[in-house]
Amino acid sequence: MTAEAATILELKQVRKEFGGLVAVDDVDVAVREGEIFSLIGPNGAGKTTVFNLITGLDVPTSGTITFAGRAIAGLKPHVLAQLGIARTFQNIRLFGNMSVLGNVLVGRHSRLHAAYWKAVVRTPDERAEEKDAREKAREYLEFVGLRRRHGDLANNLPYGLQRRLEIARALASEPRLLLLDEPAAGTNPQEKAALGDLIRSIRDRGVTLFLIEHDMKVVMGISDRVTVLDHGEKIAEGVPEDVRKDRRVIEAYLGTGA
Amino acid sequence: MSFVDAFVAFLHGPFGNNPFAILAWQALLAGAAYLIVRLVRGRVPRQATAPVRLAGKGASVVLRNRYALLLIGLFLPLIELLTGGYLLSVTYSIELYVLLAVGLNIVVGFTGLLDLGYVAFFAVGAYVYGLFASPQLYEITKQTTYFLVSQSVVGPQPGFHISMLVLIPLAGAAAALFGVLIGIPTLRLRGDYLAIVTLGFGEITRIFANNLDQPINITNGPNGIINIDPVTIGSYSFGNPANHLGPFQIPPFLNYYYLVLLLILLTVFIVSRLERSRVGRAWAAIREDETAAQVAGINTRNLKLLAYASGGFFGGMAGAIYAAGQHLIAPDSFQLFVSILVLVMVVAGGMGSIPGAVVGAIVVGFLYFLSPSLLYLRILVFGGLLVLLIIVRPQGFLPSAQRERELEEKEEDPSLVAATPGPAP
Repeated sequence: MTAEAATILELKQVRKEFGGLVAVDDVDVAVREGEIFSLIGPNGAGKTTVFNLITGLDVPTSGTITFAGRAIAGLKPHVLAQLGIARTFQNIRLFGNMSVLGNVLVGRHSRLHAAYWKAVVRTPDERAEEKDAREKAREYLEFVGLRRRHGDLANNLPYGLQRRLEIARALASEPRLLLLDEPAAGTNPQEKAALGDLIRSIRDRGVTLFLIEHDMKVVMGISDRVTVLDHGEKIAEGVPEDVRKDRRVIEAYLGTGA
Repeated sequence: MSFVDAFVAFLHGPFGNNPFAILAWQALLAGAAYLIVRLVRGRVPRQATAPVRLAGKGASVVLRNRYALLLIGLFLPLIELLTGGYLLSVTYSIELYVLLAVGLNIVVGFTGLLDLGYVAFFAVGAYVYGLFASPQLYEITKQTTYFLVSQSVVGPQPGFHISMLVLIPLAGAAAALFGVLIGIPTLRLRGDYLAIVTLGFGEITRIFANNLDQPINITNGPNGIINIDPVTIGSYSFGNPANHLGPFQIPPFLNYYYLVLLLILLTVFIVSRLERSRVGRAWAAIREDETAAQVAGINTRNLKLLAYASGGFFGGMAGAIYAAGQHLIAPDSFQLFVSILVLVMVVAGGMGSIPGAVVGAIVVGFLYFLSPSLLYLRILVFGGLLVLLIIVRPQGFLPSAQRERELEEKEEDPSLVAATPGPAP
């Protein structure tokens, strides 16, 4: 990772209050293009709220969010998907009663443009677009290792595969930035190792990755840079080796021992 | 006793004049005929040998036999005519309900928006047709300063009398617009809250129609709009009981039956194509998880409004034909119970499945219209049957075939063919 890599996502003095509770307290985060960036912190540190702010599910109380040179705070989620931001959820949110392939096709929605009436008439361009969408969807399923399960209901997949399906759905929108919210939660050690490989190969496709993770081992193994959040506040930032040794980080995770 | 008489008596069955009994007898005949045909062709219906993909199985059976069903649809009214006109009028009513159920299925089944006010779309379509195909607008203009203007639209009869080719789609469009108007304030509501608000809108619509005879008499209040034109094509009037085809008299219901059948085919065609497009997938995604759908790039606001508008369009067209067939419409025809009945049809058929909506409307419709018609007993019997249905088959007769449709392109994908156990040879 070269130092001069461009910043793709920048949060400046971002603050989010829910009533009197400060969930995110004037946080600065800068994610560089092409890196694997991790945001870690104990439960309740405000990590998921950061993702909700970036993807438009919440609007920041104050501060600016810039994506690829454009201010995006307050834009609608579907606009952000169009711009190239995709995410997964901590508590997996698939379209349970749709097929695996159907889920990925929905993920592709923002890259399809055929109008309502074209779907009824089935114009040649609409058919070509649909065919292409199915091919692409199968490619993404292949990429995450789910190709053979494409006809199953999403609900019927085992937990680990549901996580992978969520990643395939997110990739289908051809994002520049992919936010993964605790991708390792609830997975076993083998799955964790495979997940690390998958995340690296996503980066190799040119996608910038922004992870939220609880599990230190996963994060330290794959991240280029790490930021640590505690009680809505940034307490450390840097390469994994430095962050691991940071006194405040150790305190936040293990307690002060008072 | 001539051969024709004997045939009619045979179709009439041995159980007397109760229409329910006649229908049951005819269903028995049809079942027997079907079995005989299968036996003669050496293909006895057998249990599926493949591990069951239960979802969508029944629906795909309907799809595979759709031409047979169409044939039944084409000839059923002719048989019913031979056994007296009552069954035909019931069948015609049920057809309108099929149209409504397919429309409501877009809103409730595909998109997951629980709408208890669907009758409003039916009413809007009916009133649009009623206003523009009756002397009613002339009556209005007589009371106002626009009297002179009205003179210019007086044809052979006073008032507007626009062709059905324009009016039926116009009624649909008006109802679609109405759907958007109802949709906008309810966008943020989900589940029970949405159900209550839409229920309110349905009632408001009916009460509006009831009271809009003042200050300007638009709907003619509780008396309704009368003298509505029948559908006419060229000089052929659907409402004329003196129509003959050779020696056979063509009752008005028969004309309307075929008109609605045509409309149902068109509707099912359009809706099933939508369902399989990016629009249909987006609707399903909203139903499954609205937040995830937004993040996946779906403009949920527009697509929900599109669902209301689409559902409204087909409901409005059904309303227009209803108005034409009845010659008069009154607010009393648009009670909450109609919304409930259509919803029951969609749920009983299997939410989100087009064959389900069609079959649900037919089964529930016949059960309702032919159950003993002592006012309260009918609803009691009907309610009992619904409870039974929910206990025995909560997912509906023919639940969605989403997965099977997704699998249709299997010839492109050899891995799937290998993975899917076929029926035993």
